[in-house]
Amino acid sequence: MLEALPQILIFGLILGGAYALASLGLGLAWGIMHVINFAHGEWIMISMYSTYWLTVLFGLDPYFAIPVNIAFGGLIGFLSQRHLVEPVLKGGATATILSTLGLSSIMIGVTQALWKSTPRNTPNWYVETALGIGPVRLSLAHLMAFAISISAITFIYLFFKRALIGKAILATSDLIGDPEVAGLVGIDVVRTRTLTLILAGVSTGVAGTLIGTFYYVYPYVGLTWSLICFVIVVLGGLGSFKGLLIAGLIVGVLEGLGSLALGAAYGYILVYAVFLLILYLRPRGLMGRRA
Amino acid sequence: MGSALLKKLALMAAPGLAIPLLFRLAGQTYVVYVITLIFFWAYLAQCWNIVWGYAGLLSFGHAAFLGMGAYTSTILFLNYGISPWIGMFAGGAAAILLALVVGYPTLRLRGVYFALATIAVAEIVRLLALKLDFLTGGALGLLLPITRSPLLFQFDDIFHWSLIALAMLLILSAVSHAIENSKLGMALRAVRGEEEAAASIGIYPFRYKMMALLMSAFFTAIGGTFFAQLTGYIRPDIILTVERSEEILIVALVGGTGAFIGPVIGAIILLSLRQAILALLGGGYAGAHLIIYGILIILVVRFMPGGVYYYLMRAIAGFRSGTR
Repeated sequence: MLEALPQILIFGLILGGAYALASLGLGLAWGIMHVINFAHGEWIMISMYSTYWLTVLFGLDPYFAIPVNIAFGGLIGFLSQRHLVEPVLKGGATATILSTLGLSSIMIGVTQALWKSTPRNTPNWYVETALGIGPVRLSLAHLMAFAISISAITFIYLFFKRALIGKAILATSDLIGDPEVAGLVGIDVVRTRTLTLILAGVSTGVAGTLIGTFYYVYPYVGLTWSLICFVIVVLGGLGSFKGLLIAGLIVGVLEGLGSLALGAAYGYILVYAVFLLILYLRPRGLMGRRA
Repeated sequence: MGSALLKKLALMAAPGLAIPLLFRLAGQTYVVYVITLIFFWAYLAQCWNIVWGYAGLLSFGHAAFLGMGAYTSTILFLNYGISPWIGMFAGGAAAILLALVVGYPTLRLRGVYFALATIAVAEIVRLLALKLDFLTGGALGLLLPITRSPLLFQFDDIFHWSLIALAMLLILSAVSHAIENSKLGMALRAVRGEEEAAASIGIYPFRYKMMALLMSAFFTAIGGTFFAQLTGYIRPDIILTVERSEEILIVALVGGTGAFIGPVIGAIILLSLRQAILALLGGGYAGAHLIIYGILIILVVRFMPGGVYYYLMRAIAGFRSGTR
């Protein structure tokens, strides 16, 4: 059991990078707009499907799905903001939860009606190519996912720190800035909210593509991903990129340790149990500002 | 318990008895079965509404309480021959314990964290039910032997099932009414309105929210036993999934959560729609009802917050004052 430990730790950290990117969109909408997107897992699910179909139907390399999923994810984010989130925003967090829950239900229903419940693996040579580093073996697909995730997170981080629109978005968050003052100084608050959800959709689209290269997709897969992302965002703390990244890595490792202790497929028990513990001990997360 | 309550209960009981009886006499047993399901879902939605309607807490984990009831009574019956009539109270007790585990860390936090914690707990319960297969039968689940003995909570005639479901619904409605008009109900309303103000006059939110959660968990577990007995078969992917929890809350929210009749209306709407879809499309389009449910909840949140019941009441009131 002990000799499996280095493999589990390294694999968990690598997986955790992709987890962090997968959670980024959820964390942005939550931290900036107080919108908890219950369709987040289904956003991931749909870009996994799109990766699958682009690869299978056109024989493309799965990473060619990234630009498609960026566009598609941005579109879903835009439409969700305009039709599901903005109109019910005055109803508070609950109204947006229920509104996006409706979207999640529709997306599960449509994919199930179209493609049945069959789990599908995106065929690609990256996942079949294993690289050995000492006692640790990792597939190229996992390594690529880690590298692309870290780059994407860095890119979005710099966007918020450097770009004017990024700073404007942060100013409208009442966690970091102040929405009323932001409105007074001439920032179009609705537009920044739309941009936030577009950005959430884009990052989720990229994450879905990466996850699709090594994880099977079926209509209900989003529930698992939603939950993992909720755990990461809460664990990391709202409003912190660093917290999110660290939380992603922790959850990746926890899942591996859980699988080792409880058997494959049961690793999430440990993740969820730690989540409850965090809620009890430190509800604002590792590095979060006060919620 | 005033005469107002008796009148309301009689208004529910009379058609609740007469309609299934008529269909039973006409030999339409399938319709009676659907009506039984409507009663059952209305009951579950009312259970859920104890935590939402009165304490303002959004639970996504009621399937876990349902499963606690179903599994506890079934395991007690299969392993020890204990009648589910008794086992269902053991299930209720088990659900109360689980509710303490969920509530203790989260009821002091904002509602959103409660919602997320309930999903996590429900998923832990589902995974444990899969893992502890020596007890729960794992993914294959548990099959109840057919005894047709009322002493073992089994009935031959679907009309009798509908009577039990109706009785459960009426009892819970009476309990809901009692809560609404009790000190607990007033405290809960105060807590829902403004927590800090409530605390300043000596109403401590945590205690009252916990009481609402425990009560809701107990009654949901009783429903779990009923479901296990009715279908004779329980499996994690039937009874313990997040989708199951979401269905319960969609029934309640679409119907309306301010009064105990709301969830009944929600159950009538959604279950009838579901049966209609099944009849029109057959079992092949597994996702169709999810699409309809999704559209409905989006429309209700946006255009009739408070649910269909409130919307209808307002419309009727508006119509009356308009014609005067």
